[in-house]
Amino acid sequence: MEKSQNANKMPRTKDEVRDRISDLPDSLLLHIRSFLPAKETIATSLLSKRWRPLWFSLPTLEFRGQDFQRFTFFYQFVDKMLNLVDLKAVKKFVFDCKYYKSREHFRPQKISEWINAVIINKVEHLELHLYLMNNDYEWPSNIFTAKSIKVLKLSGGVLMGSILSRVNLSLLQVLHLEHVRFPDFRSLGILLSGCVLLRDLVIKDFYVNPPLDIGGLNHLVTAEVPQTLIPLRVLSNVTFLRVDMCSSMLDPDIPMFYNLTYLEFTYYSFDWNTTLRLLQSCPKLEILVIILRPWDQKLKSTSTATANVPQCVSSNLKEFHLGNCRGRIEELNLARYIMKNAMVLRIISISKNVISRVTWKNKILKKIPLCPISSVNCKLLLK
Amino acid sequence: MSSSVEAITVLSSDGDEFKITVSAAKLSKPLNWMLEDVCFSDDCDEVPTIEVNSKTLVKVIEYCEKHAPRANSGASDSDAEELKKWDIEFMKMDVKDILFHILMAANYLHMEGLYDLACQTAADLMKGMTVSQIRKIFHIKNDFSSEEQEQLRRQHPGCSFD
Repeated sequence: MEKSQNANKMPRTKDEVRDRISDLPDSLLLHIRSFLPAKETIATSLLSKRWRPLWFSLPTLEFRGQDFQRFTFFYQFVDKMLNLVDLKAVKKFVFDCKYYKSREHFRPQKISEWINAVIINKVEHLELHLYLMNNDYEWPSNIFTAKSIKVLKLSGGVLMGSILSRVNLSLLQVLHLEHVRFPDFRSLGILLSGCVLLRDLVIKDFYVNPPLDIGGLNHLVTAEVPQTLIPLRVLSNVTFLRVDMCSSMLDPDIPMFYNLTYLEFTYYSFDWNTTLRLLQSCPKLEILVIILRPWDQKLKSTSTATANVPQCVSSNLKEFHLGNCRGRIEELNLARYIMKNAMVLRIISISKNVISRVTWKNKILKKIPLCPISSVNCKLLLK
Repeated sequence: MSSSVEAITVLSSDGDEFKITVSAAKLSKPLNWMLEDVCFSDDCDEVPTIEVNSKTLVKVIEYCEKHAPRANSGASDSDAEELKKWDIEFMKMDVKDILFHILMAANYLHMEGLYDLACQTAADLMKGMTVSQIRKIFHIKNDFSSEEQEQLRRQHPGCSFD
């Protein structure tokens, strides 16, 4: 109905309603589209015949298996799309596939083919998440010699040591590895040493002992790593650090983190002395997050009475977050210590342990407000 | 060209005269080339024409004059912040009419900053809209046949058309 109305109006008000945007050159329309999220990007390809061909020139390709009911449909779709679009225009390629069912339709060589196709066409952002039943998909070696790649995020799969002998990721700035298996864990060291410009490193679900013997990583700004894997001295330049701690295995040499403003650590067994040592190494720290493990049974002694309050706590700390709190006396002592000594604190938040009872909030509420807060403008949040 | 000249005169496509300072004109590559090639001294009677209509040229010059000091010297973060706010106000304009011309002018005059700003503004108008809503905003005529339309709907089941 709307269409016929427009058609009737067209001759009379032709000038006023002229479709001017479609007169613009391709390069301009593509630039407008580059500011749009995926959904509207597709919408623009459906506007009219003028806009339709632009669909084939896509800077970003994202394929997510969970959007499809059947794995075979997903496969066909990806294959068709990669044959349709102009691969040279693709700067970002995301492939996300969770597949735990029968493996009869799973064709690893096809996936490797797709990955190779975008790499040959100089993709800059490569994000591949493969969660398979046996997690035995081997990442193609081309990934690690792709000089054009600036961002690489891998989940799942296996990284064979042999393919890492010629790592060349000279432009890589962001590397995220999650659930990636390394049959020979030293190959992770080789990989990291090959990424000289790395700024952002995330390694999750990867635990080895002893730590990797690597140096460098001088450009690193943010890191999220298990502490057992990467020696702290390698991370000393970062401004953002999220680290899994096993205090029993803590690096005996804590370096000075002169740039660090955000520190988050997860404890398996909380230890006040280690915490204090860390805080004393971070003079600029503004945000401190401590997550306690839910299964953590015993807290080590937390006598918070110490002569020297770390400099960052007294003069820089703006936010303190305590996660997985059960409301035990040692945990509250820690919160009290921060509240008492952090003079410029703006926010203190305490979130409860997943297995705590509903009375948790009441319990904390009864105890915490009685603590003196030294900072004038401090908010207390209980979650 | 003579270095003493501080402002130049240009003609719009409608034939109106406009003054633009040299430092502002440098934001555009073609204008910059013109400055180097053409004599702009007072006794020169040739006035170059810019293929942009008067209404748009006023806006383009306004943008250039605002951005020129920063582009030429580099400025502090607080200036950048202020300039961003100014850009947002500047872009509050009629879609049907002037935005299209600004896009064309920024493209034609090779003005990177204005080009990005205008494209971003056009994209913002499309965000969260369905296919037919975008058509309405920009007066894009749906020239697909009903069969083609049906096929597109099948190809993009997740997309909201109406």
